[in-house]
Amino acid sequence: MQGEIPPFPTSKLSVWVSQYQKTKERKPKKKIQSLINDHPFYQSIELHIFGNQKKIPTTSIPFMSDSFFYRFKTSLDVLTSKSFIDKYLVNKSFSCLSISPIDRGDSFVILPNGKLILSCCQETYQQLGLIGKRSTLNKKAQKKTKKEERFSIEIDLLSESFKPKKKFYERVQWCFKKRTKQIECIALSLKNGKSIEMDLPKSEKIELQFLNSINTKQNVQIPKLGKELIHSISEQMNEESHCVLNEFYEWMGFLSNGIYQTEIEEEFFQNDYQYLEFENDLETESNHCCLKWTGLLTPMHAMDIFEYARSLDCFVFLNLYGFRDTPISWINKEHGYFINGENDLSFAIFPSSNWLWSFVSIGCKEEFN
Amino acid sequence: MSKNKISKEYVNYLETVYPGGAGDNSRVTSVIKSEIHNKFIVLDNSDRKEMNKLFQRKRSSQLELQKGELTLDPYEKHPPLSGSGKTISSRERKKKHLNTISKQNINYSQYKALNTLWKMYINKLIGKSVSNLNTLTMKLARADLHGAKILVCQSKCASLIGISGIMIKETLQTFKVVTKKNKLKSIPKDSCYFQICVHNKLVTLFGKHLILRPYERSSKKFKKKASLQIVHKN
Repeated sequence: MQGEIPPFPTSKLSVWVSQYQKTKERKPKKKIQSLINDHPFYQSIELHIFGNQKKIPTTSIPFMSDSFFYRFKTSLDVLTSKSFIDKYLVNKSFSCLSISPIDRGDSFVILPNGKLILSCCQETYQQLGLIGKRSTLNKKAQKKTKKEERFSIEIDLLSESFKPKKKFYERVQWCFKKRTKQIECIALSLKNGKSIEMDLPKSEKIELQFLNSINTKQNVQIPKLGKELIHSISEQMNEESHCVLNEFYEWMGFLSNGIYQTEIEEEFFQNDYQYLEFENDLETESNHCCLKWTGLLTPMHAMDIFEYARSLDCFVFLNLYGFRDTPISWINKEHGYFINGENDLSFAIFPSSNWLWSFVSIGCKEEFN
Repeated sequence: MSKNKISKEYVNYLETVYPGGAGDNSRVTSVIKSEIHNKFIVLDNSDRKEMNKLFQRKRSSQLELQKGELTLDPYEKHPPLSGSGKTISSRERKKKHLNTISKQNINYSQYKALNTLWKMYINKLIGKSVSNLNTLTMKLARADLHGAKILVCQSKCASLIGISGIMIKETLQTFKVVTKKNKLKSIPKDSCYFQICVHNKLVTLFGKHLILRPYERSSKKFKKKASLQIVHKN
């Protein structure tokens, strides 16, 4: 009928409930490992630890305190030259990301597997001279509104055909030298899990340490989830368990933003906002410690932190945040502001339990699941 | 036709352009074979009536040949031209490939002289109106670009970007350009922006605005238009 408003697309929460592998090491299953490893890099990782045990760090970050990365300005022909590739990209532990807005300007990424992915606007693509594909984001809207299109160009820098004196290599070098300007970017190169120094254009090179912080708070209210309750929620997965998982995820969001129930005072102003309330007998008090790492973090760093969290043997939840302006996100899918825009992942790890909960919030226009 | 029947002066000229002697495998013989042998070359747009008279004379000599009175060179066999116009029609031009430029034996250095001529022409054309943008744009829009060094700076086809050379032929839809690597490239006007250097200034020409034959463009009154976007079609 005319006048009826079509249903508005809603966002979703994807939850994976899985058990650890039945080996001595009890590693997480491949799906969980792929969730972490399929994302090329993270901007920050938060680890929230609840408990009264001695293992909880209170003063200093346990590891990655010496890690560093570089921020510099360069043209792409330097990063795609044969000498640079032989020095840093061959070991498959180099990551580079440009600092530019994803939806308005041009941005690029060099993945650890040696692929260079450029996301550029129409004008840049028509001036560059390299062949690429049209962006798959928001095709319908582009047709209707005739907005500027975006293009993505993918080059495998470690392929056998990408060598000096070959046509493709010479063409790429010419295009990046003559047809593009310098771009600001951040880069990291690892050797045996540690950052190494790099030969970069000296004029614009800045060495940045990872921003690591530690915050503690006492007597924080947390949901009381016993072994049996976790087991029943994980196995049944009915509507009741969906409600519990939703509320649990919301509570994780409150704490990630530093909102504690005891701090909300209703006396000062009228407010309909209510803190999350759990069902009866589900509240307990505990000490809370938040460890945060911020920088250019790789899946290897994320897995190390995950294993460290498991080794603590207490209730932990882990948040992994991707970069806001990156041309690709999960499984090398295109990342736009509205489409595939959510770039985050969360894990809930329970003490002496075989279950692991992983949460991915998906916007209304996301393409992956 | 053997090389002996071509004038010695022309062979000497070819030897200066393509040094290396005039032996059987030399450049000179290959040019003669590809450009001159069995080709109908018209040096100027001759009057049809005069051409008909010429062919009538040849026809009569052909008849005498049949009778056995004359020996005729087989290269001179041509039927009389049809039609009543003064000049050769474009259909006949196309049939005889008068306007095609062969891709073989192209030399970039040959066209450098054309480029210097074009520079002299454009300097005279623009004169002192470099500072006045309106008159400069009108003059450049109507200028003859044969002999100009042009560069494709923007295009929806990635492989066309970066092509530069001396423009030797302009058609309704394309520019034909000789590159430094002695290759003839045909560049469509519709999907490209071109750059030329005039008085040490880079001028960008929107190809979509130049979709005209050169003789039409020289007399057209251009209206002011906003810059166009090259759109990628699905």
